[in-house]
Amino acid sequence: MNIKIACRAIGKTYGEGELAETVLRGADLQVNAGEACILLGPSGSGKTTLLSIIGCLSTPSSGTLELLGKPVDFSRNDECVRIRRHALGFVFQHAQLLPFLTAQQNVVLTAKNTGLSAIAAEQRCAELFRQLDIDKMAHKKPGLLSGGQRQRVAISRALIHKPAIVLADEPTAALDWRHGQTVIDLLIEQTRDVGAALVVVCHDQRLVSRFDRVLTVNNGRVIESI
Amino acid sequence: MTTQSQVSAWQSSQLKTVWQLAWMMLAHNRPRLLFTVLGVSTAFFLASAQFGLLVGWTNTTSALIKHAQVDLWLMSENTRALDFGTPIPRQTIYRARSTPEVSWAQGLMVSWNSWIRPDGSSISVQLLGLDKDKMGGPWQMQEGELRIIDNPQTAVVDELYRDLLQVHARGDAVQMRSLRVIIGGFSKGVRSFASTPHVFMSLKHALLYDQRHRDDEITYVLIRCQPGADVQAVKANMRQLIKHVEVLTSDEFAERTAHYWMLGTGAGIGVILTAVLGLLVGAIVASQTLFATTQENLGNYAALMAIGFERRLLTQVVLLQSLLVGVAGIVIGTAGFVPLVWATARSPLPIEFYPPVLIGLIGIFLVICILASGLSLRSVFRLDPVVIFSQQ
Repeated sequence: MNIKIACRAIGKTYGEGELAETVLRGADLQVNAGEACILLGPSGSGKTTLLSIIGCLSTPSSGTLELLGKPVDFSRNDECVRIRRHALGFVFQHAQLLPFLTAQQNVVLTAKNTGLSAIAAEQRCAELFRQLDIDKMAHKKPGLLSGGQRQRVAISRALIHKPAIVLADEPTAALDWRHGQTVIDLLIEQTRDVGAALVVVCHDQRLVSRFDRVLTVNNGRVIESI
Repeated sequence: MTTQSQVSAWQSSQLKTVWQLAWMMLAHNRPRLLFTVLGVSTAFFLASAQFGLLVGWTNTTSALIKHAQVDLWLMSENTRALDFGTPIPRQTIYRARSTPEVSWAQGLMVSWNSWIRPDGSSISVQLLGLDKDKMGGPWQMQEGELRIIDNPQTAVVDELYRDLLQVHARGDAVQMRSLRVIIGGFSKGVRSFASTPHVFMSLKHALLYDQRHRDDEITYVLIRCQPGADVQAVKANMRQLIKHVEVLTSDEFAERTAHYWMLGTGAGIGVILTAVLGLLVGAIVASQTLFATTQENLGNYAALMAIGFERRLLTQVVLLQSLLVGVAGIVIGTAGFVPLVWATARSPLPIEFYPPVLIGLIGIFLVICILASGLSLRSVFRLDPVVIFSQQ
């Protein structure tokens, strides 16, 4: 078994003293290579907080996180940046593409930052764009793309460097049901292609059937649904 | 294993990334970029024009001294500037000549006078009486020859002041202190500070028009040392031998004169203040617009940090943006400044191009632009990439 993500008793408290608010209380989670997980839960339950900790963007108050079998040292910012750059791929709620670059430039820029050569990055980008059916949009800026097209570009950006882990935060929130389904299907298909572990934070219960595992954050803990 | 060539390829790729992000981010909002560049270039133009004016004024005030081609100037003690000399005995010339290692010494008279124009109005002029070799006089002529001032009642004035003096051709006659003056020629490019044109006559004839100097008095002794002589040693020796006078090298006297006009009268301080204000305006415009650009793109910076871009690279983006804005401002500002230099070259108030000053100004301006990015850098330094999850 190839464990990509291992959260052990992760706790997260915001603020101090009387204003302290505990969001996660010993959350445990293990995700293997090739697994697609959906993380459900009501607003404020801590889904996004857990995702940001797995994404090395937020430091847990307690517990340990292991990515690709190695514990993450959150005190070392350079290590966190390196993990984000090489091991992780992100898809955000509103795509968060750079508005001043074309779709292709957005993806290639990320690839080059991971060390891929310009030629390799452009080839891989073209391949992803073909698979996601946005190859005709390569030279358009995000402002000229629909919400669904923007998310497909964001998926390409997340997968361009073939990361071991892909994290998605509400990737369908800004899309209608039909486009939402398509985006999720493409995300799952593409991450499986690269053998990555996928964790998607989502509100939409209708999408659960598409995932291998359904996880719910409740009362600061992660509960697995059968 | 990472090889040296892979590292260098990655570094080169990072530089291209910095350039791409900096330029594309700026160019994305073209009206703002245009406003920023226009503001910064106007500020640079203003500052360079003011410093050019300062250089022009400084050169104007000391031009006669620098062009006299002598080593030493002997004058009464505490003379503030060339224009404000006090009469000294003519025999000082002979005492100067008798100082060891002096090869040549002649007198020069500088005084103020009243020029009565043909229409009856009068203006102040600076009357210069030149000794036999005409040192301290105009260094180039437009019409006629300088030696004509050896003729009685004959003066040479500069062509820049034809209208002001109301003389337009050789042979025109006016009055100075109720005495007739005939224009014998026109010099070229001999400006005066404070709008008081120079009037050049021979020393012998100039004394007839002046009330401040007696017949046996002059204002300065111009001195040349023998070839190879130590000018400072001659100067020190001369001060020992001739009492109650001051001896300065040409550079020292030029500096003292420029210092008096620029700082003593406050004229230069106003110009310097305007130049500094120009630089400040540039800094504020650059700072505000860069800050606005950074604020507008904070979400993008957060996204880049979240997906693994280093904060160092993003700060380089901000710094490069400030440099790009600065360089664009300098190029456009200079493009406006050069024609101004050309246009004022033949005016009484020249704005002059002096490479060391312009290079210094460019350096200062670029530093100011980088400092102006401080607020923007602070925003990027304080940015927590986790905010990406709350971006709308």
